[in-house]
Amino acid sequence: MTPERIVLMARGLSAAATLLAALEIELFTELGKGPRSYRQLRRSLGLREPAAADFLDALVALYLIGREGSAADAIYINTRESGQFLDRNSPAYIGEQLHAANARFAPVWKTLTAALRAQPGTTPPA
Amino acid sequence: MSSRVPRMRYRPVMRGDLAECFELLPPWLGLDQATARALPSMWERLVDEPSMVTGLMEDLALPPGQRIQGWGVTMILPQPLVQALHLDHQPHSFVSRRIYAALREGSLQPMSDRDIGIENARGTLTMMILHFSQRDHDISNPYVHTVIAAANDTFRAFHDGYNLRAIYYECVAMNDLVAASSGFEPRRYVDQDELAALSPERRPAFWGLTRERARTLIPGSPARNCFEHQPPLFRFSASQRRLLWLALFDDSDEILMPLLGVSVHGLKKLWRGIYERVEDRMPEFFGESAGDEAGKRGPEKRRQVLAYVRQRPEELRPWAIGSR
Repeated sequence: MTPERIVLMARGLSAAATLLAALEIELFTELGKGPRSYRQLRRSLGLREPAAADFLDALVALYLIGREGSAADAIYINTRESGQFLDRNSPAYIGEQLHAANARFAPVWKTLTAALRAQPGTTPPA
Repeated sequence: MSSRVPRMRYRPVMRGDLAECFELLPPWLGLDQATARALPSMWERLVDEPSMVTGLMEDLALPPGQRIQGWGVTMILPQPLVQALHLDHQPHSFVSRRIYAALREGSLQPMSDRDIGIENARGTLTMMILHFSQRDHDISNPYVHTVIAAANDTFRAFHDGYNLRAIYYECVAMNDLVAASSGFEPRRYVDQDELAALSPERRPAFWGLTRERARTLIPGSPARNCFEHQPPLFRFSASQRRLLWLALFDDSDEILMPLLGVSVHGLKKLWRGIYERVEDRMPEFFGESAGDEAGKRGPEKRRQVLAYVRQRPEELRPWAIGSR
């Protein structure tokens, strides 16, 4: 028995947040035009250092984008899957649905614990 | 060996590797004496043939001359040969031996880049893995796992991107576990029962997978996945494709020039032709120059193209619309 499944579940929020942020800044649409260097992405998407490098590496670790080379020489590219479903110019783009679902449920997740807890001074139902 | 950290990588076979590769030639092939004698001179030619798909796995942590841990040879076969050998049904055993003999005799001519391109565009391409061998097959040894993992990566790099109709695989019977876990399905020889008398090291086994069968299997195995296909976008020329393929493994001019037989100017011209082809098809491909320092744009474009073709191997395979 290992805690792997539980750890993966707990990390799911980070993966989802990373994916949604990448969608929001239109990273996959930019990479849909062609592979881009780190410098090109920083310039075209207006990304700040040092967060940009860590953010792109996280997306590589999630297999949402690929990377050729490393450090300042790195070239980033959409995976086939991302190019198909996350590039706004693709007919199979699902970004709108992902944004809509996030807009609807994100506030619910934030208040879930509070909603479950009984208010101070009240008695939980038997 | 257990205290050493392996540095395994794969790459295409070069002429200078052949002698070391021949050490791995599997005994089950059972080449006749004439073919075995002719093999070195035959391979001097075959190594450059577009229909010979051959890669090796080497451990850079070992001294030169002992590095090659695995060698695989796949041949793209012309349809008349596929039919003559009954590959789609039940062939006679020792298919690879007979293919080598036919190459030696000259009755089999390797397919040209254009012929492969036509079959590829039609979706009628047939491949046959003539042999794959490793120095060590003992899967209880963790080092062998490293070699097999590299072999799977090699298989993907060398076989993905073709518009395959079928892929067949002849190997030694004791390699069954690896063949099955790679996604191949067992097939029978017409003379299968006669092979039982052979020792496991000398008994061949026939495996295969067709596009129709692959469609019924869950994606994941190397053999199943090599049937995923998209047509190429750029349709590079044969020399451009060869440059890109070799540059995936080492893109330094000093390595590429002798392999392609071109001067530094010839090499620059080839790269320029590739960039023009890409910009012609995808004007935004390279994006705006972000190079703040002079001389960075060329290498950046090169890496952009290499990143693209590494992920989309169909761009590296022959593709020709037309007839022979």
